[in-house]
Amino acid sequence: MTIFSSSIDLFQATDTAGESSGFEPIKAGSSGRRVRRIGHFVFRPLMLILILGLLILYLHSTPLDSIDRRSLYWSTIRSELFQQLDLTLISSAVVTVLAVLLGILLTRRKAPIANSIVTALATLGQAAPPVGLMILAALVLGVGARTAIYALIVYSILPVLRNTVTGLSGLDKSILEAARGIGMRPIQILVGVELPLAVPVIMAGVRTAIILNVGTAALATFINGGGLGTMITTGIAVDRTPIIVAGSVLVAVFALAMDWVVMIAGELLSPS
Amino acid sequence: MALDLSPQEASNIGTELQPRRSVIELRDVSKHYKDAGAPIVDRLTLSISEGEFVALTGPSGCGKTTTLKMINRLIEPSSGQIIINGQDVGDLPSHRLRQGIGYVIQNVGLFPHMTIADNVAAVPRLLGWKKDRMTPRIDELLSMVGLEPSIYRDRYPRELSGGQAQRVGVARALAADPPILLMDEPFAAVDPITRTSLQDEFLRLQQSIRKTIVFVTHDMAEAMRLADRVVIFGPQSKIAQVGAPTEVLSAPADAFVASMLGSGRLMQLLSCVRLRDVSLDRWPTLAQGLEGDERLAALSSAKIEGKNRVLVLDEAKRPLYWIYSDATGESSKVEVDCKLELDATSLRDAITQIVYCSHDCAVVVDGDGAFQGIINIQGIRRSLAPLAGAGTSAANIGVDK
Repeated sequence: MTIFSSSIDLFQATDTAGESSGFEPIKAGSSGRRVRRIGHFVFRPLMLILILGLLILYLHSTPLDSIDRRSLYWSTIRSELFQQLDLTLISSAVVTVLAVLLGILLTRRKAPIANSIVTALATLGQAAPPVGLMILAALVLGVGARTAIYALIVYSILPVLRNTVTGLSGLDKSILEAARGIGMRPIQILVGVELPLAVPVIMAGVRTAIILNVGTAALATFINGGGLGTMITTGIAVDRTPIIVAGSVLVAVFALAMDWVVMIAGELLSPS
Repeated sequence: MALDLSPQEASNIGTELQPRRSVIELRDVSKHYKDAGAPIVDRLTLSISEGEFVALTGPSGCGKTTTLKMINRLIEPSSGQIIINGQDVGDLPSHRLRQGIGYVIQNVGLFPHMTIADNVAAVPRLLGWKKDRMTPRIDELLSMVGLEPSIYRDRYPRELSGGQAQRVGVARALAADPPILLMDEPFAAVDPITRTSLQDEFLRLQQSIRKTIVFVTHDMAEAMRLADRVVIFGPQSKIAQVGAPTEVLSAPADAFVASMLGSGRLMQLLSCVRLRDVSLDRWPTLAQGLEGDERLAALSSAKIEGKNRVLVLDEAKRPLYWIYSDATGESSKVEVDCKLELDATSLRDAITQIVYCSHDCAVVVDGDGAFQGIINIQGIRRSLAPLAGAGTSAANIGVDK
């Protein structure tokens, strides 16, 4: 018997030893990743501030007439910025709610056919060129910011929907079996296990949708929807390069800034 | 039992087999899927008593896992009845039923976004336990499965080895102290060394918690090692044999069961049979302190039985040493170097010990160290003789026919 019991001790020793040695690389890896991530977080805003600085420098070194100035008043820029923000945030929020709900429904059992139909429709929405989508929507619903938001929703629903479906259906089946096996109800499994585990994938989809919307929102000006695109169209109409440059740079900086915010939000929301 | 038992030992076993309350009852349970022709489980009837450890085993696709999952309604039976504690499982909402039954699966299925403590507390949380009741219970469970609470409580599942993860899986299943534990290949995904230690620890744990366990495994040796009773599923989802491991190993019902057990089954049988299950040989003994004539008389009567030594016992009947008589009538003391405990030693361990023992036989004592008899290779052969006829593999260990 002594042989046996001592060999058991030996087994336990190997078990724990195997565990502790398996530990180090994970820790080292995650701290290395964290350093890279922090660099990413800090680098982006610094870069954007630099670009804005260069833009201001450019505008100061260029002689501007009264038409230029009217478009470049801070109050004008600010209101266009807020319009752009409204278009982006409202459409993205609606898309997120809609697509996540739809994705949840599509991943419940007995929905594989609905899944393929809805995904096909959503793909259609994204495949259509956004300018066309905007103008088509305006023909049907009339011009204005509201119509622009509808167009943005149709345009950007696919990535969130697809990622929600992927995130929910790609979960480890044994986790779900265990959740069922210990007596969690379907809604508890969804809220307590499935959604938290799918958040990183869903957030990646939301991020893509926001990026699409923040860029596409610049087109809302074609249907009188406002936004930073107005500066560009104005600049083209009055043939003033400084206005066009300012508008384009601001659209790009705004898009990159939003992307940065969403990235950080995703980091904070996803499980550590 | 096909083993020859002394009356006293037979009566011991009798008390153990007193009819116990049946906790889980499967009555004529079948499961078939629409698209499949043959049923996966075919009119299965099985009764499992309180505190019993039952292993369901058989080749893959035989319906053992389906049977297990029908008990907690992860799979609904097509027909038949499953009764737990006198109540049809269909009468409860399925999540209520499952909250009252521990469930352990092969891939553990810990929730990766929760700490170990939160994983263990999953069921108590569903049952609405208060925090002040939950925290000490988590620590108790973690220590119970051999994980130091202060180290592991706040870790995440990805930081654990496979063996540790399954310990947490067992702790989670036991959290709300359910009377029944369902285990689906729980030790199959870890390496053989970890598996053996998990099995040993789990057996030890079961000694103290005495749950009713239904355990699915495709590994016959594991089933034999762990279970009180083994259910072997055969082809066409029929039960090929049900019985205690010793019964199955000594008398396989048919060629299928024999082939499932493989060629090493007598060695497995030796591991399953304990010394308390076999009849021991008597040996002349002598009370400590007796000298001269009484000693000579004992030695000479031993000689008539063909034995060249007597065993000296102290007042509590604990064996002390051998006394040999040599040709000149002088006697000499020799230490007892091989003592085996009645309840703890399997025949397999006994053989190993006897091989290294200087007297060709081992002294058997009970838990208090009192002398019970001796066992030697002949005695083990004699115990196995009734079994040897039952299988051709007797030749594997050279048992006389």
